[in-house]
Formats: sequence, C-alpha cells, structure tokens
Amino acid sequence: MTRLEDPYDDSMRPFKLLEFPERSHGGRLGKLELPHRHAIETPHYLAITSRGAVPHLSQDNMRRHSNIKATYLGLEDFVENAPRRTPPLFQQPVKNGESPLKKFTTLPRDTVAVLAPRRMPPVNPPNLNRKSEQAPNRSIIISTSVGFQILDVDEFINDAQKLSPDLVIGLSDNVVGEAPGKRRAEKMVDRTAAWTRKLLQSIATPGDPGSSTASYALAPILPLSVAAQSQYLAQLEDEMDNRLCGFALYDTACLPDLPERLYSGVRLSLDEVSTPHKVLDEVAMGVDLFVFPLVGAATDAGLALDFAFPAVQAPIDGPSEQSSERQPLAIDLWTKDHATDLGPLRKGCSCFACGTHHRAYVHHLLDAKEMLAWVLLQIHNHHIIDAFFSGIRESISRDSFEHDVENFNKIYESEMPEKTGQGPRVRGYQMRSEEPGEKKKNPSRYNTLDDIRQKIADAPSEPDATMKATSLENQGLVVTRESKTSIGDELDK
Amino acid sequence: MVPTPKSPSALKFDLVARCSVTKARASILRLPHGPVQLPIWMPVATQASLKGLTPEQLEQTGCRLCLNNTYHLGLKPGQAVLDAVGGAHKLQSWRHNILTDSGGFQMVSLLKLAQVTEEGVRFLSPHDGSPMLLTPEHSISLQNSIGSDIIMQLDDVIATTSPDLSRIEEATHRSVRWLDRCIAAHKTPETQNLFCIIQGGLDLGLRRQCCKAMVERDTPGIAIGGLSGGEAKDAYCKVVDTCTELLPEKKPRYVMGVGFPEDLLVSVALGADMFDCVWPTRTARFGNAITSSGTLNLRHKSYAEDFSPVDLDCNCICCRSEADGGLGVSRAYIHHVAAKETVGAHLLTMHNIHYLLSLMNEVREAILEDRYPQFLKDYFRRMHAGNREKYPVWAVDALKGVGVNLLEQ
Repeated sequence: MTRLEDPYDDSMRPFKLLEFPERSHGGRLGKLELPHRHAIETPHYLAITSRGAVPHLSQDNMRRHSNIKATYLGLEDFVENAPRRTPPLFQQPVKNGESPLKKFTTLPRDTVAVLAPRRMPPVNPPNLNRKSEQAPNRSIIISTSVGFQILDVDEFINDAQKLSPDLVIGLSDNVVGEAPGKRRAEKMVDRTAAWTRKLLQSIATPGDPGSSTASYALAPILPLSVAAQSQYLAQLEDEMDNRLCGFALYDTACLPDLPERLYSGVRLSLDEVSTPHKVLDEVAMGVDLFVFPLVGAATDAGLALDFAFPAVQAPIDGPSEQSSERQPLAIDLWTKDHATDLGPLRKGCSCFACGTHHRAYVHHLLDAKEMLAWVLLQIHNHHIIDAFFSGIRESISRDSFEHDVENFNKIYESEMPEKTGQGPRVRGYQMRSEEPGEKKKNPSRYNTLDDIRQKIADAPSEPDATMKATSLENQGLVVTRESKTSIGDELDK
Repeated sequence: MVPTPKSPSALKFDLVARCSVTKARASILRLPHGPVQLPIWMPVATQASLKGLTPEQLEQTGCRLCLNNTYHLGLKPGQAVLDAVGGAHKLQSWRHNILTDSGGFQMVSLLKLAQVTEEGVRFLSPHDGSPMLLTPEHSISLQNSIGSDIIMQLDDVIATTSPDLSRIEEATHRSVRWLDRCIAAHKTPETQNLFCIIQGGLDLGLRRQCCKAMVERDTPGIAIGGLSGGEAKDAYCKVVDTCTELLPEKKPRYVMGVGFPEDLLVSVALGADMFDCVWPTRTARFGNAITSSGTLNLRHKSYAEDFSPVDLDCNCICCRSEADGGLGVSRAYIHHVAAKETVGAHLLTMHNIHYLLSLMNEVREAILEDRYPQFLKDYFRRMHAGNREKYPVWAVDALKGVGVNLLEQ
C-alpha cells in the first residue's frame, strides 16, 4: 500500500488516517481518538441502540459479554411530546462533563456515543401529508413511541449540545422511498447545507473554553450525485475545520467523487448494508465506520452469523461434489436438526454464548419463544461482526485486502439465509401502520386452539372435563392420533 | 395392612435455628447441586429459561435453586431431547439446583378440557389438540429425564375455592394413591428427591388426614399444595399453620405458589421453609418493581423524571451505583424502556429476583439472631409507611396466632 501524508491533516481533529491510500486503492485504516473514550480503530461498526439499549442486551451483558466500543443512538427515541414537555432525558442530573445521554441510558463513559436525529433503520414518515404545522425549511418529521412528530433544526442542535454525545450527525432533508425530482433535490441540498452550517456554527467541541458539553459533528451527505450537491460539498470544504470530524453518508455511491479536501474526514455509512460482502465493497470504497441493521436482523431471524474475514475454507466432511458449494453466512437455529446438538453456535467461537451454551439450548429457546434466545444470538452475532472488522483491519495493514475479499466472495454465499422462524414481538415504534385492517404484526401464539374453539361450538354436546377422550375424538375435537400418548412423545411426530 | 413404600433421600436437612416466639426456622438444605439456605423463595424458569436472563445473570442474583416446569419441558423440548442432551442442567448450563413440579397444576390452570381419572390427567395438547395422558408414572419418568434435584409427585389439584367437598375429598385420597405410584416409579432416588404434596383444600380435617398418610411415606421433603388459588388469606394461613403442626421437624416444608413479600414473611412465621412463585418475575415484565416500600409500577408517568435507583437500599446490579460496580439504572430509565424494549424486562427481573432472595436472607439472619418478631414489625411498618390501619387483617391475625402482635408498639 502506498503510504502518503494526509495533505489536509488537522491535528485538532480526533480522526486520523493511519494509511492514506490513493484514490483507486481499496480500504483505509484510521483511528478515532476522543478524550477519555475507547480509541476506535477503523474500519469499525457502531452498535445500533433502541431507546438507549442495544436490543436484547441488558447493560450488564453488554459490558461483560460484548466488545462494543461505539453506539448509535436516535434522538427520536427520547423526545416524546417535545417541545410541549421537556423530555426526562434532559432533566437527568449529571456531574460536570458527564453526558446526560450516557448517564440516562447507563452507557459506559468510555463508549463512543453517536447521536443522530433518527433511529436505524428509521420508520418512514407518512408520505406527502406532512404535518400541516411543519415548516419544511427548518424541520423534519420523526417517529416517536407516541407517533410522528416535528423536529426543528434549532431544537435538534440545542438538544445535541445539551446531551453532549461524542459525535453528532447533522439533520438532513432526506426523501425516503422514491428518488426525488430535480426541484425537490435542490431543496434537499439547500436545506441540508443551511442546517449543517448552523450546526457547525453552534456546536462546542472538546477543548472549547467555557463549555462543559462538547461534541464533534458529522455532516450528512445526501443520497444524490456529487454534481447535484456540489455547492453543499464546496461549503463543507470551506468548513472543514476541527469541528467537522467527518461525514455521514446516506448513499456511498458518491464516495469516489467527493472533493479531495474532504478525504481526511471520517466516513460513516448509513447505507443499511445487509451482507458482509457489501460491507467489504464499502470498505474498499473508503468507508471508515458502519451503521447497519445486519446484526440485529440476523439475531431477530434466529440466525447465528457464521463467517470470518479473511475466510477460511471449512473442512469438507460431506461427499466431494459438495466442495464446490459455498458456505452459508449464518446458521438457522430454528431448524430441528439442532435439537440435540451440544456444539457451539460456530465452531471455535470464543463468545460467551458459544462458550457457555450450545445449539440445542438456543434452538429450544427459539422454539419456546423465550427471550433468552435473542440475547444469546445478539451476543454471538456482535462477537462475529467485531472479529470481522478486526480481520478487515489486519487484512488492510497486511496489504492483502483485495485478495482476501476475492477469496471471501468465493467461499461464502452472497446472501444471508432466508428467515424461517418468527422473530421477537414487534413494538409500536418499530413499524408504521400503512392502512386500516392490517394483519396483526405479532401473530397469536395460541391459534391452534382457535380451530378447536370453532369445533367446540359446532359439537352436538358441550364438551366438559368429565368427558371421555374417545368421545372427544368422535366429535372431531382432536386431531386423529393414537389416543394413548404421554406428553413426552411430542418429538416423535 | 399393606406396608407403605418408603422413599429414599438424596438430601440432607440441617435445622440450624428456631425462632423462640413464632414457628419460623432457619436451616440448610444440602442438595445434589450444592447447599441452599432456608427459608428460601425460588424463581421460576418455566421453560428452562428465566425470562430473558442468562443462567449466569440468574446466578448473580444469588439464586442457587430455581424451578423448571415439567409440563412445559415435556412439550418443549420433549423427553427424547432431554434424554439425548442429558437433562435440564445440561440443557440450560445451570450448575446449581433445580426443582420441578409434576405438571399437574398446569393441567388444571392452563387446560380447560382436562379430565382427571384414577389413571391420570387426560388433556388436549395445546400445540395440535391431540389427546394426551399424564399419569404419575409419566410425570416421574419425565422428571427423571429432566434430572432435577427435587421432583414433585403428581397430585390431583382442585381449586381451593371449589364448592364440591366430595371432589376435594376424592382428590385428597387420590393424591395419596398417586404418591405411592410415584414412589414406585421413581428410578433415581439416590440423586433426585421426591417430595409429596399435601392436598385437602381448605378442609382442615382432610389436610390432617393427608398429612398423616403422606408423612408415613417418609419422602425427603414435604409440600403443601393446592393453595394460592384465590382462597381467602386467613383460610390459607389456617391450612399452613395446621399442616406445619403435623409435619416432622427434620424435613423441609415447601408451600407452593407463594411470592408476595408479606405472604412469604407470614408463611415463614407459620413454619414453612420453601416457596416459589412466578409473580415477582412476571410483574417485572409489566414494569413493576418490588421494593421495601411496596410494589411500584414504574410505567406510571410519575416515575418518568425520577432519577433515583429502583430501590435505594437494594444491592442488585441495576440499583447499585456505577461507583459500586453496578449499572446505576434509574427509575426514569426503566420507565423509558419498560414494555418497549425487552432490556427493561431483563433489568427489572434481575432486580425483583435479587430483592426477594435478599429479603429471605434477611429473614434468615433475623431467625438466626432470634429477632424475627421485631423484623416482622419493622418490615410491615416500612412497607405501609407506618400506617397501621393499612396492615392486612389476615396478616395481623395469623401472626397473632404465633405470638406476634404487629399492632403493638
């Protein structure tokens, strides 16, 4: 790898590129060092939180059994009924220099907290019928646990300052769903440019005299071509000082064409990548930090991630024609073949779930809809993704990244396995009702008995507890099956 | 007379201290997976999992004996899997003790179409509606496969509120007959302790008969069953009081289905040693925290801006400050996540279990130091903020019966 000096190095900025590759080259190494925080070596990921917690991971488990060093928090998780009522988060008592956000959510002080306006992935706000009281030039629509709300740019900047996250992603005027028209795109750029300028003018950074709270900013880059947002990018070039730590990219397609002056900023991808292959693609494009729903989605689907980077070909234990088959990226713990498997989720994995428990237990927990299933999967999956990124960093520093990626693509399947089982209960703020009479998001657990209920209603005589089982069978109240069975026989079916 | 089968024992019961006023006892129960201190409340890990907690987290609350439900494990993962895996300890990687119920209670509480005959309990599978039969032999065989340290006999459970006295009488005698079948079917008495379950509804005469018949069977431990089914609290206390009078002193006494703090304190005073209940962990999932000043519904908006710990005096991982190695979770944060993120349930579940386990430890300390009557008075005063008019009448009466006047200065 060609090592170049960063021509725009600003010693005040907390992010440093360790290796500064040429444009065409894939992958760059960096380090995000904030005072009193874990140093984050990049490329790295941010763990997504919901209402301040990494889903399924109680804070003690997160501290003990994960290596999560940086988290992503959405302000919309905390500001129900604002500004009419001051959200509790802003009343959190703190000692000097403490972040109310971390104190409230009991996030360890040395964990890097990145605050964004919205959750990840965000719930799409209702299209076109923007709330009538909204002023589109200075606000966006957010989704809280009590419904859609307006978030004003001044309010957001104010909140971010009070909460003192380590990094704050600026407000941007995104259009969700279809691509915006030309006029709409122009508005997006104008508004986002104005809002980012405001943020950079207002924010206090660590070391600023007289300020007890401090954050660095990440400027949002819109999902538009570089040409379409060139004025905004030019403005960012002028503002590229130590307040602006880097960029949050809603679409990484424009990355190769970004102005050179912006190269030394940290690049956070909000692209919602869904496979490790796409992560590798973006690393090759020069992304430093990732926020993706990949880990949580696998956990909720009952999948244990089963890949490593650089990839190692698994020993072939089947017939030889299987050797050409690609390995799956994850193991579906819903399938019955794990029912008595006392092996770890992934062979050789050193995570708490694999070290303490086995596949048979996780399968049982999923089958019994026990919350612990998702706890153990979440611990395992974060461990895998953590190792994945450390493998990426080592591969880049060894100069073998391109080759390792090629190999990875050869060994693993390109998509995650299909989800076969039911995930955990969906909560109100995780989805949007689209139309009246929608199907229930959380199916009833006792639906088999519902058929029986109908049969009971149709039965010639009302069944009761004194009835003989044979007469129940005769009335069609039971599925035909050998009548003398014990509850231990369930598995034989 | 046919000699009654006797049940061997895989436990050792050391009675350490007795309260000089009440019938409360402190003891050590030495089980195959380690000793436990009595009196004890046992949390319920129904399906081999305590609702979202890892076994490690459960261990850290101080728990050394928890419940699994035979009925649920029989359905999922099923006996064949339990046999293949090597029992419930291995399934859930739990190195401490497990107690399993017999499955009889679930037949009655969960299944509307359950039919009890001399043979056993016939019911429809909740999964596919197919008919199934649970006999005393099946129940013991399943519990043998589970490998729990304490197993329970299958009993004929009737709601105490049932008006049908003849049915209650039938159930009482049947439970004794089923006990004999359980003892005969029990394959591993050297590693698993079979407890009998005294039935008899609220009829003290029946309870006495049942106690006598079951004590003769000499099981390693004795449970008082069929309670906590909605009966009046004073009737409950009379049954417990009557039974403990007749039970041998050198055996553990387990009252099934008790978990409210004041019920635990009174039942200990009436001479009981062991309790289980799902209420503390279930209520945690609804955002309710058990504290020394009563149960708080943290979902109520009055806690939204309450930045104090769930319970100031609690030493659990949530309540302890960060400086003390805890998480320093506030009521406001629990309010923020309760019923919205499962993490809220996990945190409160840990708190509630820890709270009840440490309450029972305090009870034990008080008995050891022979100051249990004063402990009772202090606890009720604190719980009701000094307002004696709020003390439940049944508790006052029951404790008066064992020599403690709560209303006295």
